[in-house]
Amino acid sequence: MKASFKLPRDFVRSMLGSHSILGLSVAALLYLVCVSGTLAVFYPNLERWEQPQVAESSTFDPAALDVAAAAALARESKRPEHLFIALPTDDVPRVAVETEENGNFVRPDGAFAEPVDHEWTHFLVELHYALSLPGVLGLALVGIIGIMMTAMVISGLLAHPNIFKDAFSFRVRGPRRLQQVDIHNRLSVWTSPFQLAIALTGAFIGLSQVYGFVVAGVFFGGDTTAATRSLFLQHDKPTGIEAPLIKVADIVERVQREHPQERPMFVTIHEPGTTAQAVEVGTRVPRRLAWGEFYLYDSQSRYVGDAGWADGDLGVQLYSSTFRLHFGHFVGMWLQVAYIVLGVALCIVIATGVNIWLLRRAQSGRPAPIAQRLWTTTVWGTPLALGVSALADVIADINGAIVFWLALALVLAAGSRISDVARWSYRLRCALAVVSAGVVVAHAIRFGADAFNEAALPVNLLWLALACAAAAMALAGSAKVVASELERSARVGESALKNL
Amino acid sequence: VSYPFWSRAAGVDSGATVGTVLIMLVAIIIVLANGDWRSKGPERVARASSVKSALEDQTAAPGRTRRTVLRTLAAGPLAFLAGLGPALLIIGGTRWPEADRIILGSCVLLVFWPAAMVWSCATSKPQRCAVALGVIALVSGVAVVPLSG
Repeated sequence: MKASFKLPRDFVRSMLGSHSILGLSVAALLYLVCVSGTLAVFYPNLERWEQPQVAESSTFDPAALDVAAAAALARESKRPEHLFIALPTDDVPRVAVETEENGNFVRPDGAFAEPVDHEWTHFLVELHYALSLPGVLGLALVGIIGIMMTAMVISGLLAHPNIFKDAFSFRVRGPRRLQQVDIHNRLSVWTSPFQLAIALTGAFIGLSQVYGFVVAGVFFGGDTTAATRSLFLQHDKPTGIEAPLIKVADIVERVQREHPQERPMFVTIHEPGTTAQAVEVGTRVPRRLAWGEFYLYDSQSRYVGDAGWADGDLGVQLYSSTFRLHFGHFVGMWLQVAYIVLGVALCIVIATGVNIWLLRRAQSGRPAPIAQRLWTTTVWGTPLALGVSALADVIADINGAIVFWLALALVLAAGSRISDVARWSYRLRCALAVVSAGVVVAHAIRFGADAFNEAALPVNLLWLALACAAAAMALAGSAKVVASELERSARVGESALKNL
Repeated sequence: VSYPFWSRAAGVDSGATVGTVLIMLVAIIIVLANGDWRSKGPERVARASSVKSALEDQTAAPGRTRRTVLRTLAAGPLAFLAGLGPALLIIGGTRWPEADRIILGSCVLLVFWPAAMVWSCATSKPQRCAVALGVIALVSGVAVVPLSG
């Protein structure tokens, strides 16, 4: 007997309808989140790229940390709540000391080097996780977008009656809508595990604050610190009573000695220079997806305990694994590149999804020209605006968020007025190629040979790859522009003949 | 692509993820290599032209505004509350370690909400969906009250 595994036709149609409603209602915001997220996979490299001249080393002298911490505390007019020391890692082999107000890289002897300045990377990351919106609002909005993306993956898979039959079918020379359908379906089906992982972990991270508030309100009398005590290490409440700054060198050496397989990533001094101060050392645990492990020491440098992120309760391990799974930071740079490739595939899936709807409307005699113009502008204008903001930052340290949103608004305003979509798309692709290459040129002019050192080269190669891809797409699009031009000329000629 | 290899090389959880990423990349390469670069055949035209938009069916039916409002209500706040109720019941009503209860509760929310969202947007009768989700939210909310601190 032959087994039948066919979904009912009405069910497939309802899933397709659900997929379309969800996709069309969130496409532009989802595209923004995905484009910025794809680039943000490289955020440790982007931070290094922004300041390629900073001296790097994979080792550090623990004694230098005390010198830097004391200097950082001494220069603050108001006592900071936290003093953060970043230690060299494989991703960012630099030492930096930061408070809420200031941050500097640290020389091997503990003296301050250049101020920390990662403004463009911070803008990009904030665009990804909060769409540049303040506070919980942006995080929650992106979390809801993650939920919608999960729903789209589910409905998209259920809307595929021939998912196995068409698994490797890829027809690119047919009519445009069918070409777009094949690109959309093949890429989305094969990258669905990645999409689900990204959507669920993104929703988890984005909605964690809202969820935390609810859980705290229902079970912990509104105390969010108490609600998260099983996930994070708890330290003493602030006293405001001055005390000599705690020495971190001994503590870091102790962690290195007691956990030789782990690598310290950072040190946080809570309530530094007070009787309530405590030191938290975060380490990278090899061969684990967990973000790391945290060891807490009190104001007398006595060991208090660990957070159990690597070997604690199932819930804690699950929570701690979401971050590296979402960021793609757990094996090496090649995996980050793989995440970028899958991220680009996801952006193509979103773009082709809306294209299918637009083409279907046009074919059924109900074209949506304004939506068509705005969508084409969004697809190519978003990376273009990101490139313009990066260029403005490299040239003149201008606020990335302002430049990005202004550039996107301008390009959307211009795009809403154009008459020839193919020509406009071609121009946007050309502009993207020029701007992306321009970022590399501007970076090289500003930083000289440092623009091609180990810190900056991967990101400059990424910009060049984007420039090449945009140029290739522009060349592919130029054929359509020529065809459209010929068609227009023919129409003009025909009309002239009729007039004669 | 081998899971055992990557589990040995990078640890069980990291290795499983790396293996899955590699499978996806290999599949994309195979799909691209399998591209049909010839002109399309007649069957393709017939299949494609017979497809009608499911979205058009939903939007063309009468009572569109009312259904859109109900659908939005069901897919958004009601689905969230209906997912949150069972999540809070897990936190308050089970004896597992605190972190497990909180995180597994959040997992219930993350699975329930998108599933309810798919249903709300797929059905032609969103009022049923809204009522069902409202009842789940209400019942679980009432059940949580005696468990709350």
